[in-house]
Amino acid sequence: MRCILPFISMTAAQKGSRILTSVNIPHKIVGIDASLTRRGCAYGIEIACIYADAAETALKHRHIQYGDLLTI
Amino acid sequence: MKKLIYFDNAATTFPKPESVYRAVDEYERNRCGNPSRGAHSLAISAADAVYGAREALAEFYGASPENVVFTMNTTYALNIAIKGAVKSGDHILISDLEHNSVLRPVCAICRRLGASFDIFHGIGSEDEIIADIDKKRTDKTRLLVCTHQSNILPITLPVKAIADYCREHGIFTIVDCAQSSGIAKIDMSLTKIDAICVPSHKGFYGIQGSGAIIFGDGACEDIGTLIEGGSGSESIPVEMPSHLPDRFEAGTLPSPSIYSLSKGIEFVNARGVDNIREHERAICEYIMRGMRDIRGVTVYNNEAGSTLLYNIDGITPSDAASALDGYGVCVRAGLHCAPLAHRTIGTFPTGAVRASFGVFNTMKEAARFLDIVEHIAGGARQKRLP
Repeated sequence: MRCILPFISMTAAQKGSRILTSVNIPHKIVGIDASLTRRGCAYGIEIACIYADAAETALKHRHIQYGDLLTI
Repeated sequence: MKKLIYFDNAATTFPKPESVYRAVDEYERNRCGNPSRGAHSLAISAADAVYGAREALAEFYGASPENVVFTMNTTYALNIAIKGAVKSGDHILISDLEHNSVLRPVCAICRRLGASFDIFHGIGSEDEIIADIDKKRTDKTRLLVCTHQSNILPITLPVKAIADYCREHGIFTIVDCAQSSGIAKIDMSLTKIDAICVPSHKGFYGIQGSGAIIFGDGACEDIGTLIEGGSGSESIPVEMPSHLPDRFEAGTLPSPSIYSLSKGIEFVNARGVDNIREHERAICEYIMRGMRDIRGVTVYNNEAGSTLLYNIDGITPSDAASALDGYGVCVRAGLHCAPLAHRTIGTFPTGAVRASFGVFNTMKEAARFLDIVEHIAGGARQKRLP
């Protein structure tokens, strides 16, 4: 299973990526299939699901906006 | 190639730092995917490079990286900001030192939308400038656009005070930082400026091909788009995305130039903004002092800075620039795309010769320049003798 945190843009995903790097959470930026969004192309940050809580905590702490966690 | 003296840094800085040349080469060879278009390794690498430039500009101007919108140059940035901010019937204020990159889009949007504009005087004390803005403001004034620093003379407008005044009166403020980029910092978190427009290729020492708008937080909610197209995100709706920066970044970005900008800003930060400004001022001051002793030369500067404006009696500005070019000296003559500013200082329609300085210029070049100008002025005097 993969866990993906969705972002509205590549820029937002890059900002999120910088935060996760700073707290040593392994991750990579991925494209999100258009069928999973209502508005078309989007980007996400893929993480191992065991890091999901830590990643969300780090992003919320820095007031980074993202969508509901996708598990695929 | 003969050794050039490049004194046209206000048009574009030259040379660039070695780190910038290396970065462009490395980018084109190894990273040049399309940023925000797909998620393969080269696209992500390109997006990472572009985001690094957003961070660098955001840090320089005290803004958030997502508020940095990349464009093709400062003129595009100003057009997007100006034309997006104006609505039918609005009144606009601009200073009398503006470049055509401000004057022309303002005139065009006024014709198109039935808006109007007035010009305030940008030379004087802070109080005098604010008083003139107050005098020219109407109850329909919705936008003020002004340069931070003139492109023909080292005149800096009090943009913090202007933005404070504008916020108090519900006026959107756009500042053209084409000439001040890299030599003067503005902290947007401490000012009420709504949008700053900058180039990559001047004081930030990037290559030509990109510019940016840096929006203040929440500033662009009512700003319409000028250019629509692919944004790499939210591709289903027919409208551009509402979020920054994608809302204003239609089409492929000039990413090699943007990457060079980030390396240029690194260079500027390492040298120190104040050090660079002082270096340019010192060269200008040296030349200004020397020119006082050259008969037939009129210098228009009241003070030294990054630009020096002058004329030689009996020789047109373009002939003077052409004569300098014969000695390997690059300067710019004429109206510098700023007829409004030349009218303000009294050099319209002839214009003048502008020498503009950069971090790589030297005092040795300044001394050589003075010798050449003296020689040209002497030649002009000889021609005038009966």
